[in-house]
Amino acid sequence: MSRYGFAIDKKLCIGCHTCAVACKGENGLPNNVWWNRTLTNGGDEMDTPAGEYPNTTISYVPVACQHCENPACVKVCPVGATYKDEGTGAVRQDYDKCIGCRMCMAACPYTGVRSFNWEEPAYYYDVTLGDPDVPKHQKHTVEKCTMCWHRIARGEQPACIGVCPVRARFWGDLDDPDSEVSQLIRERSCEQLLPEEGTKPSVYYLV
Amino acid sequence: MKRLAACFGGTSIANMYDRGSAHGMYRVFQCGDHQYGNEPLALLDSKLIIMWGTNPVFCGPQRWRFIEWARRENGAKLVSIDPNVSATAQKCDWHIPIKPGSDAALVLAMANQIVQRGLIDQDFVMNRTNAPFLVRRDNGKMYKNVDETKTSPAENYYVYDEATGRVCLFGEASSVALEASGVDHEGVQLDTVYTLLKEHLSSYTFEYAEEVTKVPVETIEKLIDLYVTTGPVDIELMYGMDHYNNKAHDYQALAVMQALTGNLAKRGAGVSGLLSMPNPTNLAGINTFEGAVKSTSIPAFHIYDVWRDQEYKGEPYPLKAFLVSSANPVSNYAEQGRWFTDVYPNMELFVSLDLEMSDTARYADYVLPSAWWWENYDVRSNVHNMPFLQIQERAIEPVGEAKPDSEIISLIGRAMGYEDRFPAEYKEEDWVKIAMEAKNLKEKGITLERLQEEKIVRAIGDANDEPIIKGRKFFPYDTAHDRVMLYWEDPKPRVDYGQKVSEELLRKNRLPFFEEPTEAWDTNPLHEKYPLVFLSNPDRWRTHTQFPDTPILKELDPEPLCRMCAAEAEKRGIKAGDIVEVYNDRGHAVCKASIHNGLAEGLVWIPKGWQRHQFIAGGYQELTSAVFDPITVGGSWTDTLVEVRKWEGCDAQ
Amino acid sequence: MTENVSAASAVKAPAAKFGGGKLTVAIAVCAVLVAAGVALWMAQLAGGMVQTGMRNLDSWGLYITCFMFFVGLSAGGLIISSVPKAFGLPGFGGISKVAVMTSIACTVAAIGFVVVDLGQPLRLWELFAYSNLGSPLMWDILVLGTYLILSCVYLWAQLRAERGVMSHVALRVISVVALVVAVLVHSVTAWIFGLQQGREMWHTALLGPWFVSSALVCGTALVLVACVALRRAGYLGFARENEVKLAKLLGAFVCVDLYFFGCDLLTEAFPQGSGMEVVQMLVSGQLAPFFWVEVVGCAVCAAICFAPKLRTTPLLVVASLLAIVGIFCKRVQLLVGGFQVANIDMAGVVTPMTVTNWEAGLAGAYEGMVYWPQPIEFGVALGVVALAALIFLLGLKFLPLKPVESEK
Repeated sequence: MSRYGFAIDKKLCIGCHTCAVACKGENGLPNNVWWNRTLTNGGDEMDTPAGEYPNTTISYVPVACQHCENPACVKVCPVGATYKDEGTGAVRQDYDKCIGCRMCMAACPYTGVRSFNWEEPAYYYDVTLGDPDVPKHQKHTVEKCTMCWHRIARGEQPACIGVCPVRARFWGDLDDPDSEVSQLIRERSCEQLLPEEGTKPSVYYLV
Repeated sequence: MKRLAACFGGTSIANMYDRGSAHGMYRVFQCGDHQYGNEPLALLDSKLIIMWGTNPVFCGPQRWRFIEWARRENGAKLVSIDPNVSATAQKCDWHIPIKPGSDAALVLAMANQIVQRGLIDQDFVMNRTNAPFLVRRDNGKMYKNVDETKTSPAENYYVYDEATGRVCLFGEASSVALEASGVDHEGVQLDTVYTLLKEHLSSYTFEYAEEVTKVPVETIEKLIDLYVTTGPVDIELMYGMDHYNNKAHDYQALAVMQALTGNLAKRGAGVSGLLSMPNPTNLAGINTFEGAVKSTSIPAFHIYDVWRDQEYKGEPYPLKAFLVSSANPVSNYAEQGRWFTDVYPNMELFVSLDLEMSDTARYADYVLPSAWWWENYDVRSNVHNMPFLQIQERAIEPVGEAKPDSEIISLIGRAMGYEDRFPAEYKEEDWVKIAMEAKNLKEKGITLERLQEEKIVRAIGDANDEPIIKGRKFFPYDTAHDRVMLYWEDPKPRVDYGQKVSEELLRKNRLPFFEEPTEAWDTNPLHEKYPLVFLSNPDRWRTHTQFPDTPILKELDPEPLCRMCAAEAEKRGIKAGDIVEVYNDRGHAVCKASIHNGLAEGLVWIPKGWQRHQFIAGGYQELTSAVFDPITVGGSWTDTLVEVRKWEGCDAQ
Repeated sequence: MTENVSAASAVKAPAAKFGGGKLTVAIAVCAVLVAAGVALWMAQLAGGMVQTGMRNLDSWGLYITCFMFFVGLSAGGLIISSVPKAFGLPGFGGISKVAVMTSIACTVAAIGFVVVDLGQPLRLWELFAYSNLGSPLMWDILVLGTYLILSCVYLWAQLRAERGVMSHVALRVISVVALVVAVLVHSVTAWIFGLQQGREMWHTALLGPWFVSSALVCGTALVLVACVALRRAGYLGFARENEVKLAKLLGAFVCVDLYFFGCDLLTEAFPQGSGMEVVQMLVSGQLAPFFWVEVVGCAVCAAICFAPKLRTTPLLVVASLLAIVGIFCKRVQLLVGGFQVANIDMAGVVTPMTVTNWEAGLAGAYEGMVYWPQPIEFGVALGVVALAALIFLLGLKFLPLKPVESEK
């Protein structure tokens, strides 16, 4: 029984999107679907800063499902297609059960982490991309970051962790005080997204 | 490709990219192309890292992490010197805005102060540079023993011995003087290199530097103070300063300044970046052979003239066919319009070996699809200052008709009648075997079998020893006397294409100086019409012109953007999302506008890499200039002025 | 944007005589519209919901807006009819059965709107196999289902009571239960939105009572219009006195609703904090048209209802329509408003799945209304509304919904 969570070093993050693209590749995401997005905290457009030259500010915030401990989405799914996996702490999605009511998308405070397949999943290439253990994407269902549950089940880390070129992403058991993630959260100042919502996200941003 | 050219004496192209830095550093270190930097691990010993005209957060994240680790683990201070507040500048402790193309003036003003205030590293300057060597006043040449009889090259130089008050050979002096002015030897008037340098630097006052660079004097003072009190200093360089005409000087000046303060050949110090190490493989075994026909090498932008005039060095030179591999010259050469006006009219056959339908491929008569790296067996070396050899294995077979480049060129070679040079039975593995038959690899016990087994093997340096640092044991200087040249001893044009360069100009280039960019400067009358400097430095989404059409990347970065700050946009009534035309007398590019307040006033930016078909009209490379200076012979893409206006024409998409 | 089903059908019927050809034509028209709606719904499922204006940033739209609206209409209608019976008060002149019929029709529409909004309607059975009883949506399904059955039972009970087969006490019990369930239905619908802490505009305890008050407004208005129309069509007598009673009630309900609105606006605005975004959006921003139509429309409605000189039948019809349109506008404000103010609006990748006008980037997405329906949604919605109309008209045609003598 583990309670897996993430630590993302915002001081190091350079907004390169490697984690976002790794996720897209690993999970064979359909066209125009992104589970993990590297957001720019700055100007109106990606990679532009706030403020006026030369006193501008910018930072990058990778955002995906926060795998909350008190998830708003799990409460409201009428058929239990969204549920908290006790063994890992991941908030999972059962595509076969999803009736496509999108109540979870209305409940989740984290704008944009959930994605609905508004059309039959389309792909650029004839070959299937992604890990063979990833559940097939279905039209008219909701999907989101799965914490690469298919990889955790094989004893691996989520795909977005190892690829970070500046080594800013960490994943581990929040209930294990000796895990790297637990240590980082103890030793560094950290913040969370929308803590006032009371969802108790499992993602910590080191600042 | 070189092998094919060697079969019949095909003309090859001498690259002109990034030559400001390569040649500037060559003047100081005599190094191979871009072989002047330290490996990334060396950064962990730095206490001050200056990102000078480089944006590693975008363009070199794999090196940037070492820079961050130096900050975190070694308390290194990070400084960015850049006209714009780049993504890197945002992460640094201090950002110093500077006028584009003016950097040499700042460096030389700093060097001037260092020299004036005696803040030099006496030991390094005396013992590891050519500072004490004497120079003839009449012609500027080094004063050397004409017979060159000494076994140690340094001992062939003359110095001034303070003990005896006489000029003598280096090995014979007991107290070598750093400064000596107008000393006499057999009727020849001499000065030490250091004296000449000091005199030359004296005109680079603070006031002059502030006027030229727009960096306030207080800031320069603060920078000097930080620079001399915080060491070791590593200066990270790429090509922000490079792409103006005649900008070897910026790099030459930086290397000289680092030499003056002893920030070279020392742990944590140097001039570095995403550079190169010597390639330990036996490329010569592939590129040439017994009986090879000599090839002519013509500089890239000069070749426009050769195509147009069908003449080279005053003689007829009938260029008719063009074979391109692993390059995208139609997209990357400056002044793209010249392909249409000067080159295509005389080109009878255009063959492109390419991975993607690049601009070059689109204009080729034949496109021969190349296999990608994961479809191709090869050995990788020399990757961005990493001392490793890495095996590259096929993950899948080439798709469709694609073939590895070596196979395509072999097919062409055999079709042209050179079966003996391109044996039919050769596969990629056979070419790799030739490359691995290298003396220095054998000495280190690195064989293809071992590489196949271990996948990645260190070919330079020792993992248990110090990191690879230019000027030290694993990566020595290439100067004959193993000293850094504060004064370029043997100046000559980097490549010869029939140009005449005066002795006076060559002499002037021995010491670094500031020269205004040829076009992109406000005193240029053209500036009235075209008041914006045009930047085409890379964005984070691609490597040069690779991956322009990759669909997943296009979701993140859908189209070319002309980025400018809000002030410049407002002047022209432009809002984010408007379609704009960037133009000058050489051409235009039409695309969407974007507001980016990290950019300084007076410039606009379209990231390089977008191909012509991705613009609404034209393309960014139409705007740049193919002008180049006759010594450095380097491309000057940023030495370009443009204007921007809302696009009135129709969407031609 | 509102469909006043009864007025539409009434206009088709001649003034003096009811039933017969005109009703049949109306029924036929509704049937055709329903069929068209079903065809469009099939097209929506086959070609993908990408044909709608909904996307990831605005994942609910016209259908859920109408769902809220029709639950309100139905609850209101039933409350109006059951309160007098529950409390043993004189009613509004025997319009109770018609009112329940409108309520049944609207409930069917509400359920219909949920169904057409689902991505996987064939998996509807899962709602009963895998029910998550903690979900407000599940509560609403259960309550709505119960409510539909109860409405039918209530109508049946009234018919039986009229024939003397059911005791009035039993009827009274059923009407009390109906009343409670009607209040519950719209409270539960409110809780689908009001319990979500992630949407600032929705997360208020007031939403439950407020939905009930809005339901009373539009339900009363609907009943008023329906009865005026049916009186005109010669179907029933609707005494002026009852008309006035209903009108006064409507006015009172409008005042309560506006009071709740005022409380909510003040609560959002006073701290001058994050709530200001919501207030600004309503009062002067992207949703301003819907805000002002509701506020002004409801104010005018109340004025008409309370001022004897203005309380003429035609003006009362106008007032009722204004109230209905106003409440519909409220639903739009709520639904779109919940998505208009993003919790996380940092710039990032924007694709055609993010929002319809994705080329304008994230800033462009929120500049105007983040959501606007596409033609297919209007078509499917029209089909569902036509279904409600069809049920109502069929009720008129085949069921004895006219008031009996004793109640006139």
